[in-house]
Amino acid sequence: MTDERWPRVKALFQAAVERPPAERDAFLVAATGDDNALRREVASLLTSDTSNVSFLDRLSSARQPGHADLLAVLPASIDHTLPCPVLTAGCRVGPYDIVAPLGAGAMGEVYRAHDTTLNRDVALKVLPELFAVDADRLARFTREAQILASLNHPNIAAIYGLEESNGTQALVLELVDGPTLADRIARGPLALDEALTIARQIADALEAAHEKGIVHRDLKPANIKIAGNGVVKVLDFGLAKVWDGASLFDLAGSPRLTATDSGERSILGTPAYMSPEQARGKPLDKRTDIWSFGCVLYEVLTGRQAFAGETVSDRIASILEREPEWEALPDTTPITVRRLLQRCFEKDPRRRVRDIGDARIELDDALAGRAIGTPVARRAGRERVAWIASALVTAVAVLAVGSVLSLRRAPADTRAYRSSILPSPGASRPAGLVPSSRFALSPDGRRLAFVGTDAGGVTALWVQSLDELAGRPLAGTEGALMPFWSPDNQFIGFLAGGKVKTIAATGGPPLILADTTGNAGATWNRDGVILFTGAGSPIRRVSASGGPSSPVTKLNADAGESVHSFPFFLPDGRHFLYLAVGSKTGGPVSPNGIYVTALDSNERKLLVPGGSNAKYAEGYLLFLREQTLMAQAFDVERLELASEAVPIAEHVTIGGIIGMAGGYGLSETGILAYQTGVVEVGGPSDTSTQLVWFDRSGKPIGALGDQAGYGDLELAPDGKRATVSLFDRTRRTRDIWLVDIARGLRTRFTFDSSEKRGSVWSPDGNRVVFNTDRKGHFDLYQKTSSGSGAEEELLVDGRDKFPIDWSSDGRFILFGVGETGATADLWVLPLFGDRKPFPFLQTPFGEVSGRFSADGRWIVYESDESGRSEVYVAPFSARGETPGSKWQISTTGGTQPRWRSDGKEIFYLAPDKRLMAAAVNGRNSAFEVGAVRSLFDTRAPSTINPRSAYDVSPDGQRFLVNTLADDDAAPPITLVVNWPALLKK
Amino acid sequence: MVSPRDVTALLGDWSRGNQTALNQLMPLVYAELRRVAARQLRNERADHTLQPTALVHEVYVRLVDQRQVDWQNRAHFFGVSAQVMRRILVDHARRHGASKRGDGVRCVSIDQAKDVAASNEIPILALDHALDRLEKIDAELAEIVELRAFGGLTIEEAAHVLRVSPSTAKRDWRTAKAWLNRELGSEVRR
Repeated sequence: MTDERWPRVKALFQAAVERPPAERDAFLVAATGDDNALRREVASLLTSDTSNVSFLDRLSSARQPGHADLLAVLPASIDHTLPCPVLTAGCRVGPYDIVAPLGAGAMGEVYRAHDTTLNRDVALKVLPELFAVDADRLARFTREAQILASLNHPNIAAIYGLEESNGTQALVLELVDGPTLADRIARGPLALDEALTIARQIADALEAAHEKGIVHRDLKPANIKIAGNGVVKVLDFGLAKVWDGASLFDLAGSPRLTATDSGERSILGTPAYMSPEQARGKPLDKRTDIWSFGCVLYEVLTGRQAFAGETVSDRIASILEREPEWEALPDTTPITVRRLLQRCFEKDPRRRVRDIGDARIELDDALAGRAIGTPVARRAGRERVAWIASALVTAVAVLAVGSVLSLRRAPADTRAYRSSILPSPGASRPAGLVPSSRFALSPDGRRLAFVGTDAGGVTALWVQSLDELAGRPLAGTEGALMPFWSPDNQFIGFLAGGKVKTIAATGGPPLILADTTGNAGATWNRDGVILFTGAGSPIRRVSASGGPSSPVTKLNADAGESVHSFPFFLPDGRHFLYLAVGSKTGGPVSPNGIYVTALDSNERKLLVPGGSNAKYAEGYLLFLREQTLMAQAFDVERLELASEAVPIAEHVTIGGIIGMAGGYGLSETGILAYQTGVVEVGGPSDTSTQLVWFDRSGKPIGALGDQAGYGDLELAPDGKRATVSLFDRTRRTRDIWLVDIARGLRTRFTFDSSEKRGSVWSPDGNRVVFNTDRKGHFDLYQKTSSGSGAEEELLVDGRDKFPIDWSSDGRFILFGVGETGATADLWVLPLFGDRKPFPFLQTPFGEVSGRFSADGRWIVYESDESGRSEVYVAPFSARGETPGSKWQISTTGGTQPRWRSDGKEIFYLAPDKRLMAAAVNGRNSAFEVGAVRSLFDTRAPSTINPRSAYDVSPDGQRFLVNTLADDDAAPPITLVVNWPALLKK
Repeated sequence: MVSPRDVTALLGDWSRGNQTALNQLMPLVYAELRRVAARQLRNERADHTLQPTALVHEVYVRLVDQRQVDWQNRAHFFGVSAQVMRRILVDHARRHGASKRGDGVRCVSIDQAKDVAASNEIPILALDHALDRLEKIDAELAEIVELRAFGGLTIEEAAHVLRVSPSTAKRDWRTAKAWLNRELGSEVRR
């Protein structure tokens, strides 16, 4: 053969294969004339064409079924019809006289035939030739056909039997005259009554078949006939399976393409009517018919396909991912029918209508309801009734009316319900809690655990049933925050006194599990694994029954990660979400991203850059963007986000130092609880903190100034003024302000839009040193405290620096390099000589919050070298020698140490924010530490990395504390029942 | 590893006519396909099978954000992958001294005696050679075989990639199959 001949060979081949095999020879002879070589060439190709499936098809058809992907159901290759015997009128197959062809189906030609024995007309479905040559297949087919033949129901077209005659195999079927439902729909939507009547009969047919264990598998309008008397007949029951088992194209049971005589592709299990499990090639049971039934019902009501698409894969995508257009249903559609459709279209077969009998009853009700012209009452569901609670708020009253709505648990339920929970009587909203630490919904959605403060000022864990008006505190949970539930709803985990604890939800002795230094979330799985975290910590795990804890994530130092926070288990109890927080530059910490990983994995996957505390429920990942709660479809098996994030709640309160610890919670039953409120970026919000003077007993002496978002509090040495940082909501940065203590007035001290963090006073009170990041990293600047004069650079280099203290002789400024984590070190800037900074302590651990003693011999500081923050004292060498010894001051954790000016006491904050006082003596060469006393609960803001939250008057008798203001006016918790419905608007 | 976003964007660029994007895309697809294929070829015991299009599909799932691409882009991806897959299989067959009758690459079993390959081995090298020959005679036929056999494209997808009508693609596919069946039939019998 030469290349020149090829186009002609090709053309002839292509023309010949279009013809019936019997005519091909004649065609070739005519077309090739006396060119025998050409004819042989084409004929040899035609010979090679007869194999039905070549290995090439095999190669190309291996997109595996079971893959959760559209392509799984697109076996590519089978695009030619199996050769079937062609019969013409007058032919006889056994006792059957062929009358006329009726058409072609996926399985072969169908003929009208006359049964000469029983004197009736039947439909003969002639099977492909291969049945004749494969005894095994034929035997299998025969057995199946016998089972099908046992179906006897007025709405099912009967299978009379199987006829074999002269090598031709044919199914003998009941002949139903009349249009198919597809024909009928093509003429336009049916009247409601007609549609329901038809659907009712289809349901009846399915019910009869299902009772015999027979699944149709290919229910569609084209398989449903409407006989002249209006009786509906469902055709081809179970043939899809028979065909499946008999098929050559065995692709592990996935639906497959074949061709009809019209050349149009169809899939056995026709694409538009396939259930999701069918589309995925998964094992099928009767619930696949229920899906298809839903498709038919939808189509008779609307005149359009429930899941349409231009291409097969579009259609399948639609089946797997989308809801039908509910708006297309006629307004007159009874609510029962709408609900029935929604329940037929549950993608997860376990949630679908379980029994077609239920559908039949619904249709009966709907028809009856229409007959008597009244709205159709909602039938009580047989399935589990979930509790959904709602408490209604009246605008004027401090009165909550709780009521329990019993709604069916149906994710496809049409509506979401919003309501509010008022604070429980007797419990005031505690101050000083990061929003994410305030409350938690139980997984069953029946109860709320929240942190409340009683009339006596004791803050503890409270539990409130959502159908009750009041909650009650749990004894033994004093100081609790950050509640989280066990998956069985029986226990509540919480944080108190720097420990992770658990307690029975009905009360009892708490169990202490582990130490922790932070309150950035915890989660509990069904295997009794609790994940928690702490300041500067990766996610750690501990058994709910106790024992040692161990890390399950690793901070990525290269990415500047300083903490992994807000662990949240996914439903498999193995994978979990968390938020990585950190700062590459050592500057402001920020959320680096929401990750997913697994208990037994070192791999992790970034889901959302930035982000907030994230949770999962109902197929969605929830997280915050600013104050907007977003939901984004999330495939927990493939750990992949889909589509776009959609807002579901606004003005959700957020806080924490990263600003992204949002106040919301989820049940596993479709309830969302969230609290609205102000942003609390960088610690306290600009409306919720108050500078308050306390005496040593914790008695408030007086407030200073108005409520605002104070931070970085620093008293001037004379105690008459203070500096604070204040968050500018417009610029979203902090500036330094001066506060006049006597008059309570504050004036702005820095003005540009850069971020400022720390400030220290010169011993004479004339100058203030502060830092700003206006050159890309935090540098030290100074300015006169009168506010006049320019800002002067004091120390500008490539590092992030935080001014901490100024020695009382005025010669040294102590500053931190790196704000948090292991990179934080303490350095000293001499203000004389060459002014070359030197380290005070440079260790693999994090040292922060150093303070000179008044005599300049000691520095008290905070270090995490023991694994948690403790307060230590070490000698200070003006020559930069590394201290050779140190003394631990705090005993069970401590931060933010301060000296009394006479050096006889050191104050610090315990992990539970109580102010502690340690008697010390630094007059000798060895430092002496005496008794440590607890003074009072400062209610200082709990943040991931609290900065200067208090200061001490020079005499050590009064404390200026940046407390969270009492916040009784805080908005109630909003409940959204069936929140996924918000996404379906 | 490259992110699905990157690959998806490149795919989009390419299908909009940016050839540079293809140049960037090919190495990514090649690397990932080779990795996946190597893993499977290593793990498979002799009685297991290699399903090229399943591999391509796996890589597709790994590399492409499927929610972001339309089916045309998907077709292009599989088109690219088909070439790469063919090269990987052929390389593998060569390395493993496939010569004699089979190539050492065992593919989906073929249980039909009528079929050209009367054994259950896919003669990858033979197919490769035959495709080379076919390409000289009719490049479009060779390409459609590559797309469908190695990339797993449907008729519609292949038609889109080749810029022909689906009916033409369908006819060509049938023709190519017949041609290859004939060629390989003689080859395998040899």
